[in-house]
Amino acid sequence: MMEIKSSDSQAKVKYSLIVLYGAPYFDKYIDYIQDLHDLFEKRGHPFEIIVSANGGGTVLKKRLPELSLNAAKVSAYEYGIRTTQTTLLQGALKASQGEIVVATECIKIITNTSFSQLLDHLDNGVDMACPWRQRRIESWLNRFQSKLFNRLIRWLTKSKLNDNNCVIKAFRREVGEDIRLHGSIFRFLHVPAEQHGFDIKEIACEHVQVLDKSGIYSFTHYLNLFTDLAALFFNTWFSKKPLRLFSALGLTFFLVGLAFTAIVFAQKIIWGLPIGGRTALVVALLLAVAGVQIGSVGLLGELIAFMHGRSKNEYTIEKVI
Amino acid sequence: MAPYLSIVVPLYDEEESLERLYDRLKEALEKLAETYEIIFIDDGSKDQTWSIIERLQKKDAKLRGIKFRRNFGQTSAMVAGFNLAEGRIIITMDGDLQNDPGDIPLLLEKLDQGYDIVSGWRKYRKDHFSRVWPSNVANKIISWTTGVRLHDYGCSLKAYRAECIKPINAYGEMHRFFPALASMTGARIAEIPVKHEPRKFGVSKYGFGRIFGVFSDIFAMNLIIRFSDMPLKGFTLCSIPFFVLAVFFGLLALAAGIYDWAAGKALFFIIVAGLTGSLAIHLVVLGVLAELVVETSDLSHTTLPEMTQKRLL
Repeated sequence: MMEIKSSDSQAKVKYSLIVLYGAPYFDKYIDYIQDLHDLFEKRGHPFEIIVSANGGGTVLKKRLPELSLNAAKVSAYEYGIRTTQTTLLQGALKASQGEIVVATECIKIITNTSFSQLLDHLDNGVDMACPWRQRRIESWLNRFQSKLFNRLIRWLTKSKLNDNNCVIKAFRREVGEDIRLHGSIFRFLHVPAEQHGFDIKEIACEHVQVLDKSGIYSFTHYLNLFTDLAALFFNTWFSKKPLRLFSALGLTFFLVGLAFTAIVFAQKIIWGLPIGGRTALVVALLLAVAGVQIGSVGLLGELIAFMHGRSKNEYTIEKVI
Repeated sequence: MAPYLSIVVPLYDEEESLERLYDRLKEALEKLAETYEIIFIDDGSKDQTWSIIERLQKKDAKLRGIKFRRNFGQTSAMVAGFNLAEGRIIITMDGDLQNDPGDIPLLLEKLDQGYDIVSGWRKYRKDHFSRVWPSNVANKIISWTTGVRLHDYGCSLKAYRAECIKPINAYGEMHRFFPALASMTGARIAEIPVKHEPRKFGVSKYGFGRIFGVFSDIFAMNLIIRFSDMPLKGFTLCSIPFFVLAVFFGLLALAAGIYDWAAGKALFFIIVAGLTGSLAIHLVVLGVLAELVVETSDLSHTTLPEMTQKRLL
């Protein structure tokens, strides 16, 4: 990670705004940083802005000084390789000092009034404030798939939020420090935060039309979505007890295989049908073998959870007296 | 100065029973010659449990409290209690008055006989039949599979030497298996009958839904206790039946080919041999990966038994 400009150390920073700057948005949306800077300036509390960039340091070096920013409050970091938003957040979080952290992509998706409301709720003691974009200005296809996706997330993770895919995350520092940031958890930070028992509030926000955004997502987008969901589901429920998932799956495969075998043998006994060349028997065998394979992977998972999960407490403590 | 005894009590919505439990605990502990501390863990209660703990703590410096952000379950609550406990002996018990604090001296007496863990046995259990019989079946299976024979794994009233229980990484719903897990440290385990009272306040937090989870945990425990220091051996043992099947069907296929016996079935035999053979290989490969997992872990099986090592001469 290369530091472009380091901020002056400040005594008590209240807000740390972390702007995740991805390659496709270079140059185009940099004015949004100015917008956010002014918004925080108006609040009158000490703040810092950390730009965590996925490449494109040359553009940032050139463009950031062109903005009317309070230079002492702004720092920017660039990664040499293309990395995930979670990594960008992780790096910036380490460099930040604020008691309240707001992470956002460098694209305006909610109005400044709504943005301020998120901060107001955090000021009032909520651990995490999540935007719920109202009346979304998007194509019907995007709105439909977003609804579907949100329902799926709520079902898989028992999340209580209506908008699970917003890229603005506003939380108290301890939330970011308690949760192990990895993979694509950034978008779904509220899910482990809910699991850890933090006080989360969803705030109705006014959606802003995203400029130049394509209406149709690529195949990679859906592939990422699927893997993110699978990882989220597994990490939410089974990261400490993987055998429960794998044994249930393995047992299902095995029992279906057993049922096929029973049918084939019943046909042999009742109608005298030959067994040897039956496709059903091969399918039964395949299912039984798959069942054992899945179950055995669960055993390995359980061993990993036991041997390597020691440092990861399952609980979060609010108070000790 | 660190106390000799740490009493760890997980609590979840126990506002009705908590003060009575505290009084009975104090009464039993004050009779002992040993110093003690009581640790109440509020496991995300929705009632007044935490405010009662705070109130009691203000007048009793020997009482400590942990408040969880939400309900994380009994295992987590106990582990949090173990982490905070400073005593050389840790005693765990339920917060619903089903365990009698008057049994604590009996546990300590048994520990003094040279044991590292003493587990309570609710010999005359006062629960409904629907709870007792699955519990009995589970106890038998756990005893049989783990090799640590106890009548009542589910009884929360247990006494541990701190060095035997603190290094154990318990997770999920594995508080039932603490004695079996602690056996990995070479702990000497005993069981004594203890009193059991029916639940007077609140409702039981257990249900049938947990039974599948318990049985899944039993298998996990079996793997961990028996094979976590030599997983390749465990996986290889599992692969042997499939290897035998593969050889058997392979020979059948060979015979079918050479002697033209069972015409048309050779392909089927080859498929079965291939599947079972690949399954055997799969298991051995998993075993090798498991060795890597153990090798790279900081939980070493050579250091665990060292914790209970005693110099004899």
